[in-house]
Amino acid sequence: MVAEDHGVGERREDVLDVAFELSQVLDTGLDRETLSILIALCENGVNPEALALVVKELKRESQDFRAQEYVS
Amino acid sequence: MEVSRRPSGGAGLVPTAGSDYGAGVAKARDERTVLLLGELCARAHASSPQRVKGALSRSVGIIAAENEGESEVAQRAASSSLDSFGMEASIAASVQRQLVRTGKRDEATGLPLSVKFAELHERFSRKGLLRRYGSLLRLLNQLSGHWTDLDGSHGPNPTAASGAGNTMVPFKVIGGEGHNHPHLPRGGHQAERAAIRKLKYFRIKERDDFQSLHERDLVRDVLFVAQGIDGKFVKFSASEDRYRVADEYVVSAQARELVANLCEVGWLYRRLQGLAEAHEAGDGTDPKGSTQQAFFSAVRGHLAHYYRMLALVESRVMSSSAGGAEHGEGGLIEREVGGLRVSLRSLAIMLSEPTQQLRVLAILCDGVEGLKGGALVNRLFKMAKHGDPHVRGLVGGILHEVCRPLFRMVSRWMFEGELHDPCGEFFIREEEGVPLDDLWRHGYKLRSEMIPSAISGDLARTILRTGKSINFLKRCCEVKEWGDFHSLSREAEASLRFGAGEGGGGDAEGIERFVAKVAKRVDSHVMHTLFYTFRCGDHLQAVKRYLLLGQGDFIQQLMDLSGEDLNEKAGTVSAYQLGSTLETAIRSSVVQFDDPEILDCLRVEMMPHASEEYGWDVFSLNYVVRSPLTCVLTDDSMRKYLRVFNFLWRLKRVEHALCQVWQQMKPSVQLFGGVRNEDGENVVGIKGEVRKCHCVRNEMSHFCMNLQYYIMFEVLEEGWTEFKSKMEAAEDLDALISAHDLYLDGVVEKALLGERSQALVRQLNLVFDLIMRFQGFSARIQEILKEASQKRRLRTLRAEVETAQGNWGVDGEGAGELSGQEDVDCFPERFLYSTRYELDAIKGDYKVLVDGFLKLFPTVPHLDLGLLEQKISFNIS
Repeated sequence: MVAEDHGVGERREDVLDVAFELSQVLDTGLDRETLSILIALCENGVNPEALALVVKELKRESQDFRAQEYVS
Repeated sequence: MEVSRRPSGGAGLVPTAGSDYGAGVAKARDERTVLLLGELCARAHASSPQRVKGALSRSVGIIAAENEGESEVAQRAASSSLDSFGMEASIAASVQRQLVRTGKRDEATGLPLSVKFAELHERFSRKGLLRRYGSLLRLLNQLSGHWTDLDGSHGPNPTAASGAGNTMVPFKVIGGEGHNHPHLPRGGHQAERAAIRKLKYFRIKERDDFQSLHERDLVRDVLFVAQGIDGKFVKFSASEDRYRVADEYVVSAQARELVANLCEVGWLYRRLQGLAEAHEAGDGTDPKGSTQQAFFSAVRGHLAHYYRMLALVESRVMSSSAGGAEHGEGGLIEREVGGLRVSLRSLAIMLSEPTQQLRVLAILCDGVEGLKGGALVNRLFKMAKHGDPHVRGLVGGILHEVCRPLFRMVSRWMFEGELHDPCGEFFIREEEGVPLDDLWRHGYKLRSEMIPSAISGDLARTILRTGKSINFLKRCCEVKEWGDFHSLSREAEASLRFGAGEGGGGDAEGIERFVAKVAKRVDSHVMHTLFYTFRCGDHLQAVKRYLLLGQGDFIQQLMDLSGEDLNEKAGTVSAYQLGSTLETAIRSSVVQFDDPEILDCLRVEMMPHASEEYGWDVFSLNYVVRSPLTCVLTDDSMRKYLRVFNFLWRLKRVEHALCQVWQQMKPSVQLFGGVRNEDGENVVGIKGEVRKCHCVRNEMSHFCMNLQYYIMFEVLEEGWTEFKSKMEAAEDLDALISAHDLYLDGVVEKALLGERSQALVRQLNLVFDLIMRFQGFSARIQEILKEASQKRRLRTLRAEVETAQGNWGVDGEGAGELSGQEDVDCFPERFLYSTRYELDAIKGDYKVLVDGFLKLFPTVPHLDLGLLEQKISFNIS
């Protein structure tokens, strides 16, 4: 049981590594944690296009926010 | 429980069982999705936590909106490994292409990014590390900085997204992931809802701009097209003669091709429907045959079947989309639809068999265009010989339907003798305007091109004969009953069918058996009627006895009685008188005991004649038969009989003439026996001529006798014996007729009346003419001799009277007569010479003619004249 958990954990790491590399190749600008959340969301069956939209929206919002902060 | 657990390094892989879509699991998944989104938002707005909540609600809205659009076409099948693999591969391929195009290189290794991507992609896909690797790939692809940078903008840019949506993600339209049951969070705020609405609107608008189609739309359109109706997006293009997705809609190449393939069924349906309708409407000029009608009704039956199947498919599609709509109100992120979802691919599977069917039907329709009746059946037969058992079965079924009217015609024809065929489809046709007497021979004909190949020529002829027999019984013999076929007609239903299943040939044996059975019954009825009711055998025998001079005493009598009349010129001979002579001849010979019915048929006929001809040349007997027998004794065969009769009659007459010569000569010999010898050489001289005359007569008589013998025994009797045995064995009328024809032709041929023996007959006629000349000559001589002997007798009587009166010698007044007395016994020298000369001429001519006749024998090698030759030449040499 424990060994299996460990194995799964190792695989997760592994997967995340590869996925992260992939994300870098594609120049998505995502960090590891965000990517892991996104992977989890994908695995949960969320529509990837919608998810991409959400991510872009969030990025835009935070940028806007930062810009506002900067202005203020 | 899960909420408390903060995400550490890696997000948990969700261990959901692919097959379990229970509501509880769905709810858990929704909750988890929201949770994860929360984390995402928290990370994005780490600096300002007050914004997290708003961002979360918007995110949820986006995702819900997206799901709403996608889930209806989303299919359960999409989550199958094959599908997702295909999707991954295609996305990866498009990403790879894009990377190559950008030409960027990895800073660390210097390798092109595309190479690195390929490596990573291979690792992922080989190991199967992620269940939804495809989704991740799509996500990363969308977020990729390479192509958003290209046009220098961030966020959802329509053009960029359009590029991604269409070229880079070809399977967008084909469907996404399996989505779960929608679940609505009841406690949402007003603001959230507004955001959702807004986002939804945005998304929908965006899609409309792309004009990329959802699979759902395509499925619906294909279903329309399958019914021959233009869809919204898929329309019939008349120029290309096919259905296609309109150009303004963006569909992946694969989907486009799939749709095009699927639309074949619509094209076929449209075509078939068109043909069937055109047939139904008819163009007025061409009458619709029953076989053609049967064919099209079978086709329509198949189309109806196809339509039912289509309705079933449609109801499935409808129920899946209707189910979607029902649950749609509650749908938040994912939704599950009850029942089977229908995708283009599953549609392709469902439609593949009907497509094949329609294809075969279309080929059939093209094949039988313009054909009818047997020709149509034949074409179908040819097509039924197919390796594919499905095709064979399909064509066989249609064939069965098409054959049904044909078989109805066959059984009607064979049972009732009725020909109901307004469109000329049956392989038997009725000749127009054939007189009743010719009904059997020319009334009905076979249409060879309409005979189905399963029916052999013999079988078709048997069928023809059977129906003809019934018609013959009905119309010529006026028989109302020709056997009870009620039991047989039921059998007919069973046996009259082609089992096209067995290699096209079908159940031909069954048909043959059945036809043979019916034919035998009808045939025996016909023969029975002919021979017992209409006494065909007796009539044929009578014809032989009277027309072929089989009844010797009658003919002799007739010749004796009519001889004087016939010696007259043809113009003065009265047929009426000859008729009464015939009556007398009948009454005075054995034939008077014959059946009066047969004797009634005997007539005297005068042939058309020239003024120079004598009664002998134009006289002929005729035998007049009535309706049913005319099929055997046709006008044609009666003409042949008459030719033979005339020949025989001539022969008989020559023989008769020779007999007369004998009759006249016999007493003259006796007369000469009493001639006194003292009167000198002159009497002896004429005596020599008379003897020579006898010799010639004897030769001629020998010739005639042998010729007659040949014709009577080697031709007539032999032929008759043969024919009689055939007649008794004949099972049907055709056999009887052909046997009779054979017999008659044999007689004509062997009696030297055929085409090839015309030279012989001419020669023979010359011989006959010579004999008649001889008869005239000898009659003249006899006349003179008779006169002479009468004179002599008178003189003798007178001398006796004188002697009795006591006057011996001659008295004075007889001085004048004395010279006359000299003349009585002494024929003038000139007369003797001329007689001798003419006799020699006749004898010489006769020899030459008979020699010529015999020499012509080798020209007719097909006749067996050996015995005749021997017998004739025996005497001559």
